[in-house]
Amino acid sequence: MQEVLNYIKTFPPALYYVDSYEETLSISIGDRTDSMYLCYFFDPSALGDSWVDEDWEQERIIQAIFEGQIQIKFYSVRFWSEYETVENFRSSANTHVNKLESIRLSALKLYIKLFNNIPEVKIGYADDSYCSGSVEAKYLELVFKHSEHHLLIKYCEYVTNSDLIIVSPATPFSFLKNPIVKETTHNIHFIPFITTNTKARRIGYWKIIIKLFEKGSYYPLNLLPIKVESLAAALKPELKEYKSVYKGDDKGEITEGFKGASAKPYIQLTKELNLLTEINKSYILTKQAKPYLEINRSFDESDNNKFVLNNNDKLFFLQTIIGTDILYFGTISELALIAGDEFHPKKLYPLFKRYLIHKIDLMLLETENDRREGMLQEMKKRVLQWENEIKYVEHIIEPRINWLLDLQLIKHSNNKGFFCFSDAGRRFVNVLCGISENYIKGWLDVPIFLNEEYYLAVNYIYDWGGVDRWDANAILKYLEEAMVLFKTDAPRRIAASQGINYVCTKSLLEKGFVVSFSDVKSYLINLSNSHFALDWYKTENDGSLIKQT
Amino acid sequence: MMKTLADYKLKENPFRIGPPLDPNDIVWAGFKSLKEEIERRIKYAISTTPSRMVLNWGKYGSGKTHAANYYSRTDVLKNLTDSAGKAEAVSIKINLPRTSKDPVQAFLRSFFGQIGLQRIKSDLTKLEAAVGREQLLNIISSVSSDNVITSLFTNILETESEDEFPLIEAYLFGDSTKGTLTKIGLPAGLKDDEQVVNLLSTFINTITYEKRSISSFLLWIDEFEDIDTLNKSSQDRFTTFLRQLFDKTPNNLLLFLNFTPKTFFNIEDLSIILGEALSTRAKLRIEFYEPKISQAKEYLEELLNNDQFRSEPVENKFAPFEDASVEHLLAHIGRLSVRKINEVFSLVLELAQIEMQDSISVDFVNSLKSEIVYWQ
Repeated sequence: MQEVLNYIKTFPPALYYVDSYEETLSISIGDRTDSMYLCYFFDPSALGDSWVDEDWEQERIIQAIFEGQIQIKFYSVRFWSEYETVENFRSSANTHVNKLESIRLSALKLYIKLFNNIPEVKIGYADDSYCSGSVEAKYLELVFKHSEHHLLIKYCEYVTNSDLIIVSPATPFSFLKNPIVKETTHNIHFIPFITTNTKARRIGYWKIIIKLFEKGSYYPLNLLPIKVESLAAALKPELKEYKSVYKGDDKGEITEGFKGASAKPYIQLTKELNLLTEINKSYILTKQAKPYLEINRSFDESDNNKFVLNNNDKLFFLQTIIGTDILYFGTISELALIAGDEFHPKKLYPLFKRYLIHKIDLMLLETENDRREGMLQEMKKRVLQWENEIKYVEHIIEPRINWLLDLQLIKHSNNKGFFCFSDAGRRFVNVLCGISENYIKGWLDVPIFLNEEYYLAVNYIYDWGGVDRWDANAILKYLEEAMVLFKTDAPRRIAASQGINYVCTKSLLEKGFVVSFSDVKSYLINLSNSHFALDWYKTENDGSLIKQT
Repeated sequence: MMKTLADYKLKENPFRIGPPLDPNDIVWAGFKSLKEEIERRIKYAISTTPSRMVLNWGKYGSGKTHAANYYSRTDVLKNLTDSAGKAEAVSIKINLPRTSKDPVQAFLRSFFGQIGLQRIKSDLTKLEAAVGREQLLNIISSVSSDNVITSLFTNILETESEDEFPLIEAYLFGDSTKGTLTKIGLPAGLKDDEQVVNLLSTFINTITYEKRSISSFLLWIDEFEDIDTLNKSSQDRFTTFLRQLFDKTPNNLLLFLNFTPKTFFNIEDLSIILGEALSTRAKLRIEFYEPKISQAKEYLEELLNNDQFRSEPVENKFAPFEDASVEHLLAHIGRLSVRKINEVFSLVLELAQIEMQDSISVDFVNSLKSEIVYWQ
């Protein structure tokens, strides 16, 4: 305890601030920014009634602390961030630390560097209690236990003396015109993560599984794995070449075996990703996967290595992963980024559980009145019970590290077994932070992100140089193509999402014009000409695109 | 004080929102080409042998259920068979089983709920009169290739009194206890979906034999999109059942599936749920199209002046609506469907009665803008 008091005394009293309501003694630290505080949480209960009945102004409290009448319970470091709700804010890619997500990743990166662990993290806010009650500022708090004061001292020394907080590894990125999105999701009954097996590591295999459906529209359940295995066998040289020439990796190979057992983890994965589904004891492509397949037909890939993903592959698979698995994929991406300038996957294993709990806690801050709150609580309970999770966690981490590699978001570093982020990968984490920062329910609002910003985001991530432009002729032409490509028995109509995603993808990849899903949807709703009409079904988040006669 | 419908030269409010209880109220108005398409299918079914499956695609409120009711519950079908010079046809409508653990059983109950044992007995007896008992029993046995089914139909044919019907019904719906079996004199209960298929196909094949007593069996399956309420394995089970039923009834069955063109979570529409196998058998489709304003006007004119609703001839065919107000309304309620038109016109009619309007003018319609949910 004396050691704690001695440390407090090393700071000039002018920097002290006591909050008797919150029961904290805060000390402003770091002269590069005025938004960092050391907080000492005290316990006045030993004072008995005196605390309640009498007047305790700042000086008196500090005196009581130094004399030991008031005990310090635990400590924290707090980083404040001003909370902007400017309507016409346009985000830019500067590194000024004014966003909580940036601070969070910086603060945790430093903590991992120093202590190889994840601390307890809290988020709080101060509102404008005099006026509107709207949030004026938020803070991120790293909590140190009673026995961890020496860690606190070490952390503060680094925080005040290094660039690590100022230069954040990520900046929340958003193209939204109103960055704080007003719409949020309701009535969604799943948490976006999927189950994976450590064997299913190469995205190239997803390509060839989907490509099989160029030749047949359905495959019996026991036949598909066998077909996939025989296709995969022919690709073995390409897999090796992917590692040796293209700096990829050859883990997760599908080998020819008995009854398709080697292919099964991949087929199961494509089901989890909603790329394949089952009808009448056969596999068929989902409606989501068909536009991807059709667009890939126009990429002549006979000479290309199948494991090197083309732009359509990257666009579609990243979109798919974000939609189904952002909780795991995003968590691992962030963790990998803050684990060091380069990282080894195995280093992430012991950190993952705590970091995942941290991410779930952040989500829980925004899920009041949402049925997913209960689901997240359940999930948190399960994760907390993981024991000896190193083996278990491998099934979660290894596939996703490999997906990051195949998506060219990370690359092998010079040290064997280590990886580092590519520029695209850093921009990807910026987008993840942008979703957390700007959407009401953060990652849980990913369906809205996908509608509003995905094509803008993927263009930014991969730096394809696309521009924000609406080419009505091209759009109509793509819609006409879609009506033919995605025709079913339903007369004169196709599933709207197929048409719209086809338009957005083609517009970006073929013409370099970026349009969002919701732009095209609004266009179709408002279309007063006689070409197309749109019936929208809110509960399905999709509709019918109709060709008018 | 308010105006009566009689003041408007109407016997009743013609604008129904749900299906009418009185079959006389089930009328067809307008939509001539749709009616022709449906009746062409029916005429082929009456006069030719092959069974056919037709997908009726139409949005909510486009008249699919109404069409099923119109041909199942009125004399229209009889008129069609009479003018073709053929034996009568049977038409029933069944709703797709919802949230059911056993969709095939639910379907069976629905089927026999509408057909009933009396009807079965009388249909069989009619055929018996044409071909004789021995021939009839031969037909049943060759069609079913199943002792249990053959015995069941023989049993029904031979029951003297209707008192025995409840027992047979119990058997049909799954009661295969020793006691019941002994009383009916059957060797075993109905075991599985295949046997249910057999039962139904035997029935249909038999009564439509050579079109002697029944020329065609029309089966409308309504609300097919409710298949989404079944779990995957029940969905597969039901579509398999349909496929087997269709395959085992190669003659004289006309199967209409009422489809709403909505899209689903992982798949585009109902035709995908139907599966490859059934899709190849269902190449025929009828579109319950969205009416244009001119078609909607035709519908309204015929509806208002149908004998069921019009008490005496009127000069202004849309009375009590003025010509201009009909167009005005139709142009301001967005995309049209029969249900929407009925809802809106019914409301305006009732409000006109309350507001003591002699006729319904454009001005009156405009005064009701805030009452009309769809107004644009």
